[in-house]
Amino acid sequence: MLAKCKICKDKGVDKQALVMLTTYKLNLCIDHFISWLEKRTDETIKKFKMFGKKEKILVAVSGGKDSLNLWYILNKLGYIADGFYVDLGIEGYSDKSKIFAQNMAEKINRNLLVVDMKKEISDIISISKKSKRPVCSICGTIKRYYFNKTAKDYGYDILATGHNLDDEVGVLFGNTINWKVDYLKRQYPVLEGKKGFIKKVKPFCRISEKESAMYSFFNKIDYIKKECPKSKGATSIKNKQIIAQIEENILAFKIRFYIDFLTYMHPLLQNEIIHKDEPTNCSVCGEPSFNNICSVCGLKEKL
Amino acid sequence: MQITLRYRDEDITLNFENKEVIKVSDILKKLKLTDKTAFVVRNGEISQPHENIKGDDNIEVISVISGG
Repeated sequence: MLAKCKICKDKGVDKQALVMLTTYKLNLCIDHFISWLEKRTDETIKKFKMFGKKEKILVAVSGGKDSLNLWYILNKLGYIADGFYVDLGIEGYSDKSKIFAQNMAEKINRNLLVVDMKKEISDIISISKKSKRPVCSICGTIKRYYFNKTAKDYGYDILATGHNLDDEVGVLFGNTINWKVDYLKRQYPVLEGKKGFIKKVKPFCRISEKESAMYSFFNKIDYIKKECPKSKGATSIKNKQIIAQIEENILAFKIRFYIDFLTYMHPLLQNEIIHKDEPTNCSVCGEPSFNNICSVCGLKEKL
Repeated sequence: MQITLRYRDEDITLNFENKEVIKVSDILKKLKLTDKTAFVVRNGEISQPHENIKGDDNIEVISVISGG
């Protein structure tokens, strides 16, 4: 027997469910799944006091499903949200992912700010070779720096990323099995702004990757499905595969692990205060830094 | 039996030896995916793991795991 949409059934309508959300024991038709996901995103924004309708939001957009979906949903919910894309100069990949970001900007009639790394410093493969640092490490440094700087330069109040539940659980899992207590202290859907850092939020932290992918499919939001060529063997992907296996055996593992961490463990970790240096201003560019020269200016010097 | 499908923006062909009937779950298994980490779009609609594949089906497998 085919499952029926629960929400339709509650309204006295007999409609087949096409989305089975086993985590929540909820079967939904397409329309109710779409509104469920949008409502869940808005609830997350309100629950964690991320932002209001008057604040200007800059969404980090990679061309992937989560950031594009987030950008689309924020605008649909009535928030003021523009996009920000970093062209990392990865041959055969960056040019394609940028097109998806540009297409979304057109679709929702919002601005897309673009930083081209080849013009700023160099493509990240070259930066990685010359600095002798892994590409993924360079990618993270570059994106965080330009995301924050661009938001300030253009007067945005909030930075939003498309990190989803699977991303957060992957990081939480990795930090737990390695007991990275400092990182566990900082893991939260909201990073408040301070000393040159703009407030940063993750409105998709309670949305799973599969839910996000289905949202893209039903709304015909096209995104880059090809993996970044530099992500092969990435620890984050390996952790997600392990977690997927756990979820096969423990129903609702991901959402419970994450929400229970935020509810019970995160507050306990805040009581353990380890005093560290406050950020200062980079002596070259003036951006916040925990060293005299920030990471990006340090990379520029090496090149 | 051979099935050609779209996966991560590329066309690939999967071989199923000694199988006359291929299910959606067989495709996922062949690609080392599960219904938690992927879904199959058949002729423009999401298919459930127990459904059979027909020879002329237009198939795309959407893997949901991203990262790096």
